[in-house]
Amino acid sequence: MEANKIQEMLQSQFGAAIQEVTQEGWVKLDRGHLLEIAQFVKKQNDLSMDMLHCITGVDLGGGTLECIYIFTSTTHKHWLTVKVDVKVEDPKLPTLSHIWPTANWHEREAFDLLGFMFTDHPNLKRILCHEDWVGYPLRKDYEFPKEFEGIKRDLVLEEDDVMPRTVKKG
Amino acid sequence: MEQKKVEEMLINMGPQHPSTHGVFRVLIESDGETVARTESHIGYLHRCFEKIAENMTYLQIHPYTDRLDYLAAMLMNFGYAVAIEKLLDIQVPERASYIRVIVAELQRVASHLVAVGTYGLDVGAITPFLYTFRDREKVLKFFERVCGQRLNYNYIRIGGVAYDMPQEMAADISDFVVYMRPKIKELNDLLTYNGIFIRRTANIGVIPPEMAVQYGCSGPVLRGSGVKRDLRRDTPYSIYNRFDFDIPVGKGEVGHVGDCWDRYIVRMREMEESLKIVEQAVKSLPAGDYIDAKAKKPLRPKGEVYHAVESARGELGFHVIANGKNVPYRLKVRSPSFSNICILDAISPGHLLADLVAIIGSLDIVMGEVDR
Repeated sequence: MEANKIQEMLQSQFGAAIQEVTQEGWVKLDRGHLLEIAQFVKKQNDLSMDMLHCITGVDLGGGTLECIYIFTSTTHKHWLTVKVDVKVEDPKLPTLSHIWPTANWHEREAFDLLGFMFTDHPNLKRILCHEDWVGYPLRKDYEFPKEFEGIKRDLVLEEDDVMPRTVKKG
Repeated sequence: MEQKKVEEMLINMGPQHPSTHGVFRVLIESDGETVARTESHIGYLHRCFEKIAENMTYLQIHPYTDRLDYLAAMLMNFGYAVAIEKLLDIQVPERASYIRVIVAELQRVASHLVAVGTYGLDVGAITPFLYTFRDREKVLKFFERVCGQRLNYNYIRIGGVAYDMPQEMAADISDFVVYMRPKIKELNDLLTYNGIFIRRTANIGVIPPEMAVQYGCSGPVLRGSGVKRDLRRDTPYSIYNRFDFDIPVGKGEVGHVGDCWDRYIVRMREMEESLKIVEQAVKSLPAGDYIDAKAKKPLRPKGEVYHAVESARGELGFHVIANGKNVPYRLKVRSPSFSNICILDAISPGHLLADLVAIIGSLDIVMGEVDR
């Protein structure tokens, strides 16, 4: 099914819950409807999004985090991208790990690197970073640690036009 | 008869263990020789590639993609290049497209040779490992001729390839295809249909097709469970729609559909299919440019793209958010091994400890890509 057909279908089914659709084929939702819509796209025979390809996110700045879900169907071979905005102060999202078991690890990664809080997740703890890591590395306001477990780094961060790089002091 | 109660023992496997294929750690609760429960721990190789990429120009990111799946670095280059080209709407020259397909499929052969060779090693067959590495060496020699590197190539670039393929190489690659086909048969005689090997792998670690899909498995793991999904066919990218090849799937020839042997045999058959593609591509290799002129200028794309390609281990996706600067705003890698290994905790209970090694080997993970 074409991306715009999928968008139309979701809009006719859920109406105002779909906040925005874009030309590239993305659908932006309200987080309150995420669970309901996720179950719908999986069960609905014309969509049957049986594979959750990945969960990712981005810090949009201005205190907004965006969680991005990419679904695909092994029978219809089509794709769907769903985005949900949350505020940094309240980055709660419902877990999808009971619908797609693969979401378990992908949500842990999104929590680890961006700090989304997935409610009712069976095992929400850091997966890639060390368990006692401080902060969420992929947030735009993340500060590079000057020290980790007693190991000091005497480095400063300088920005130039090409790319910011770490330069040794002195 | 009275049931005896056995105290469970906690065994730690890895992170430094020869059969975890890298720094992967599994905590095993064992009931005698049987696995009761496992808990996988990853992240020992984590260097936050995604954060590094936010501080790198689009071209500087390229060498980093090599280090994701270092056994199939060409395909990692390929995935990244295709995603950025989609973002910038760059048309890749014909010759470059053919060279890309040739090196990508040769890389798939090399990667699968490591996979089946080390898998034999995992279950106790040492000789096939030496044979596969001998043949892989021949592929690496081609890569050395084409770009000077043997493992991390940085060869497939945005808009084409870094260097043109030497003219006389096409004939040598054709010779290699002729050389390689009997070697696959030899490997089949040596390992695939070996009675001991079949007994170690048949009916072990069975993944039913629905489960494989639900856990987001892809590549040979998904196809081993009998699901016919290959992005080269389903959502054709580059010029894959011009070639004639089959998609092998597991059929449960020696046991249940989706067991370790099925995943193994899919890799063996995929090598033959890759050789088929290489043969066709070499025959119709056109002359012309090897990189698009537009890609040589500084790149400042704008927009957002998600593109997935079929790597040796499954579906490799790059999600790029670009805001018109010379560095990406956000770059996410969907690595196939990450999704493939998350099924381990679900399929390992009930197997013998020795079979756990066979299961991990059949999933064929590369930790560089799992941890990113």
